Amino acid sequence: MMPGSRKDSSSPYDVPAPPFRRLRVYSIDPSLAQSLETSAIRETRLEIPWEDTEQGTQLYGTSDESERRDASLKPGPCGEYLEVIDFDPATNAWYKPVDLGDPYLLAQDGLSPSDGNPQFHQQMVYAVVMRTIRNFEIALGRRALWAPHEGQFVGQLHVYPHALREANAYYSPAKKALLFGYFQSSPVDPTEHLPGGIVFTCLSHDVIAHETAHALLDGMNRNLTEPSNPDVLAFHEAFADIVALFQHFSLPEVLRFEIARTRGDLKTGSLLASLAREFGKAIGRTGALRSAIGKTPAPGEIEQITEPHRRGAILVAAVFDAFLAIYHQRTADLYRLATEGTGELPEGAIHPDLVARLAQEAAKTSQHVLNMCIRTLDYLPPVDITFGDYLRALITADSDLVPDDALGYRVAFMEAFRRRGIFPREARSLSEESLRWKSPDLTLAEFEPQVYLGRDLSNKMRDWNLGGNREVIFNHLQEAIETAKSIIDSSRGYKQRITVGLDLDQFDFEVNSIRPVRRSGPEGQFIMDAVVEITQKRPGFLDQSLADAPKELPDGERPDFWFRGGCTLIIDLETGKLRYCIFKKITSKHRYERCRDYLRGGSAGPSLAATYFDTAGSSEVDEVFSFVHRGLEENS
Amino acid sequence: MARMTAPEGGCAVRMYRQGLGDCFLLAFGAARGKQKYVMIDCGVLLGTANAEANMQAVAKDIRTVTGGHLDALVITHEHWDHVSGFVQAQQEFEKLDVDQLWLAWTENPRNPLARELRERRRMALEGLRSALTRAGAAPQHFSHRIQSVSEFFGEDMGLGARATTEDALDWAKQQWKNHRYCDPGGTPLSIDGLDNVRFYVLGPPADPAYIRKSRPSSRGGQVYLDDATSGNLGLYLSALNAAPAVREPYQDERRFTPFNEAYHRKDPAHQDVQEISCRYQATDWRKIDADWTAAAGELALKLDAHTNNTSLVLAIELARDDKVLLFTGDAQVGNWLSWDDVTWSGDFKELTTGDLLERTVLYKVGHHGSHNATLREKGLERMTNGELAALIPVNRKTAKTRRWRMPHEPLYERLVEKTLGRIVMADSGLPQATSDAAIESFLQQCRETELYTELDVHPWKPVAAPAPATRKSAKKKASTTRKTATKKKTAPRKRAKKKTPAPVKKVRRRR
Repeated sequence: MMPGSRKDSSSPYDVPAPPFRRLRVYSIDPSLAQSLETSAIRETRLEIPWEDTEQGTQLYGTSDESERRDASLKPGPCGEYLEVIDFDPATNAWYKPVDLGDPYLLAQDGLSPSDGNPQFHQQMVYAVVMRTIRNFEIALGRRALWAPHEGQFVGQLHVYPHALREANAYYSPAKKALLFGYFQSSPVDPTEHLPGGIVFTCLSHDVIAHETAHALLDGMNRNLTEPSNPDVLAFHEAFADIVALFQHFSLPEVLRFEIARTRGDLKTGSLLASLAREFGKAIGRTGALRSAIGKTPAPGEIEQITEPHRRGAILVAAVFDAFLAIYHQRTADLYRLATEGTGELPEGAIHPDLVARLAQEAAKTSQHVLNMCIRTLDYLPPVDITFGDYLRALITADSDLVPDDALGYRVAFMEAFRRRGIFPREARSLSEESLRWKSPDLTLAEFEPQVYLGRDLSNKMRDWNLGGNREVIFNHLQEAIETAKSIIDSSRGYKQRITVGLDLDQFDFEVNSIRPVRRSGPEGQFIMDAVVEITQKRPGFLDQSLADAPKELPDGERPDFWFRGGCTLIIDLETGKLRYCIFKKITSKHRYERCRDYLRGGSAGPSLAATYFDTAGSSEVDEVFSFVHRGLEENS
Repeated sequence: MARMTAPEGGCAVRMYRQGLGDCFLLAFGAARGKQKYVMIDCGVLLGTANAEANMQAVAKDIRTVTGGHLDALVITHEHWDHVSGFVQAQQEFEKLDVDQLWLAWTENPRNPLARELRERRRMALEGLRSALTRAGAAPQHFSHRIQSVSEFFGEDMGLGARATTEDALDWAKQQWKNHRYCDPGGTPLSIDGLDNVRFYVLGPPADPAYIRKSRPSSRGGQVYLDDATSGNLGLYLSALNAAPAVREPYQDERRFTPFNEAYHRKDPAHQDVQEISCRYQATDWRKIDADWTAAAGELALKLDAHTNNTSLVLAIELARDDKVLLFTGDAQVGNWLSWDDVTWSGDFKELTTGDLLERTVLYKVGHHGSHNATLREKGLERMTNGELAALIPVNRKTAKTRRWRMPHEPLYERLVEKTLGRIVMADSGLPQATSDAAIESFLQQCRETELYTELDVHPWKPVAAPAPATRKSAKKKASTTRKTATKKKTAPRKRAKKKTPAPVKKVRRRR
């Protein structure tokens, strides 16, 4: 979906296919339209990568025949990445799908925002999901793939804008689908929201982006969702919130409006830093559902809060603090210019030019921060992730790409995380040096097994067209996984060296995913890596320590939980050299104990559901990614 | 069979071992060797093997050892595992006389709030039923959730008609007509002929001002609801207030549509939607027909929590400033949190919940030991008495087959620490004898049979302690006063009693 890249169409006017389709959406959610102050910024136009419609393909054809099937956008909208299916099972109603190829709609950037028109709802979810996908693709340097179904390629994510009748929305890993709900509001203050009015979660930019982020993350690593410590689910929530949050800053109208209103102080810009305003008010809160502007950082919080959304909020607040610090860094000169060095802005509105420049800086900063956060995903251990791991991965990923941290981005992150009490468990100090994942101390000798793995993989992957058809890419990657499996399997004598964290003698291993990474840094350097994730599992028992637990399960028995370990290998595709091995040992007694403690509820108060419902096995069948998990009130 | 007897001025607590469920018989030693009997709940979880036979054995035992007469029967709340006996052992209970039936105010048919609450409960159950029907034959991951929660209501939703908790409760109310609906606070309850013993009602929370304050339209109450720890009370209150959350989604779908009907296409073959509906039908594993009903799982949980929170909570005091026995039913967090707001009238004005908790020597662990029915900082941690013992009416085997965490391990571990191991479980019975002196002396107060475990609680202050002749006469005088005293005249008696030298324990406690 790299815009404009491969769409050389044969238009009679010799015009290339448009790079973007513009679609109108509510800029944040319908609530902005209801207040005079904000009604000016109620809607915005999102630029979505162009997908040809049937008509367009007929008229102009596509240059690449293999793309034809995917590239035509059908009513729904159903495109290459998504199928929006508007079926409301509770009402037992189908809604006519919107045809974005309609000339009238094309000419006016789609339907105008309306909460009473289901076709607009379809248009809005399509636009926002596509926008989120694009942000991921830009940051990761590869095309987005959804999690496979039983090993098979899943081309389109299903999106159901009106699937639920409750204040909820979620990504269903089992169905590869986004389900959005609608509900009647019961606001605290009836003047802020119509009591009993219907609120659609599919009209909230934040909710859509949040759920899409869950889906994209699931497409990268399936094991990350197993709650083996309090950070795992919290991380998922936080990450999805971060994606939703920083997308606010890519809305130029809202950004300018808020910067003018707050005179450049983003800390008080509630529209930008809060998530799901309408939703929050409608379910009876005084404000938005979540806000990134944390109270004064309280390092102790991280020890006490275990509910995923609230714990995730700590991570979001840390990232937002880092963002603010970087923004201040980048705009210090503008303030000096505007205030002639006094630092004191005159009373009243600030100059529109200053607003424009500040907005530009804020947009750029947010894009950088979002990219950093997304890129980090490739540097995470494959299982049992903690916030500390995320910090280390973030620092490593960024310093790989931007070795010279002139603007202090990494320092800003380290400081912000430190102030929220987020520390990596094993790092010796909080310097960049010790936070970076260690490059393995490996030579480049020919017979080293990791070189085989790296070299073979790099031979295999070097010539792929990563911009091409997604199904072809998927199949390539599946082949690469098989190759990697056989390489690891056949190099028996060397197994121990190749894979820190694994115990190949006692447990089977699985190559979970291989992902190519291609990107260029600000200094023009080009990085081409492969990320290989290998995991193992062993049965775990709540009443047995690691040493006592049997290594294999007796027939027909279920363990209390699966204890997983594994490693993420990052391989330089140019040289075949192993650059990082990020691991969680399957043999770690301490980690097993921590996991066991956590699942027994020793370090965390489980939810009400945990009393009645099996906790350890539940993640397999449950919808774990609800936007508001259903028992919200219980913890609010 | 011999009557059940308690030490004079003390109490004997019999916990029946019918399975996962509550049934307690308390005997109080009144003056001159008389016994007074109070029963608290009588039920076992739906689906327990031999439930009827077990409950009949229990009921028979109760009838025998009480001589067929209870001074009071307490039904804490309307859950099958607390009331099933009134259906399963009806023949036995028909022969039982009960002077008073004590129920929570939330069961009072004349209380409008209570009526509203029960109405909501009915609607929610209705909602669950229709959700299950709508979910259809396709096994949904939440069906078992609803199922397991609905078991508390005596309903097996898959199997059609059965006796429900409502039936059980109604039968009991029909059978024994002297009802007393208990509000928290005010004057503690007592039983004729048992003047020293007081039953303090701590819950369910009842202050209507409280409830009004949290109505959605008022800002004032919000602070309270936002308080991080009050979650379950919020739930409880929202059951009283936020009807739409319960009412709307399931009642009548036709009346509530999100869009103008003109947008609806009921027929998937309609030309407008044919293409998209074909796309949807193409892959079975991706269909979402029943996902919306999954909210019922949460609804079921809320319903369960609300009902648990309507538990009648009794702190039973053996005598003024003496030992306290705490029976919480299945009260969950919200109920516990409200106790500190309970105030007492008259003579008892000075009394605080903290004081009662401090003197608690026997705690009936709430909700079979689940994690959310025993409050930590504001609950268990305030039971600081060194003699504390705990009764857990749990059957771990049953709990395990349902994959419920009962008892919740961290809670259990903390209980072990706090009671020094003096924990009686319905399934395993009395704690193992050890060389530990605390267990040793505890076991001397206990008995167990297949049918029950029994524990004696002696008062700190012996009622008829051997004393010099002069004091004996003073005592006698006091006891004659007691016989004729109405409730209001308790104050002088108290004063007279206080003149007796207080045992060391008491002094330590009152500091």
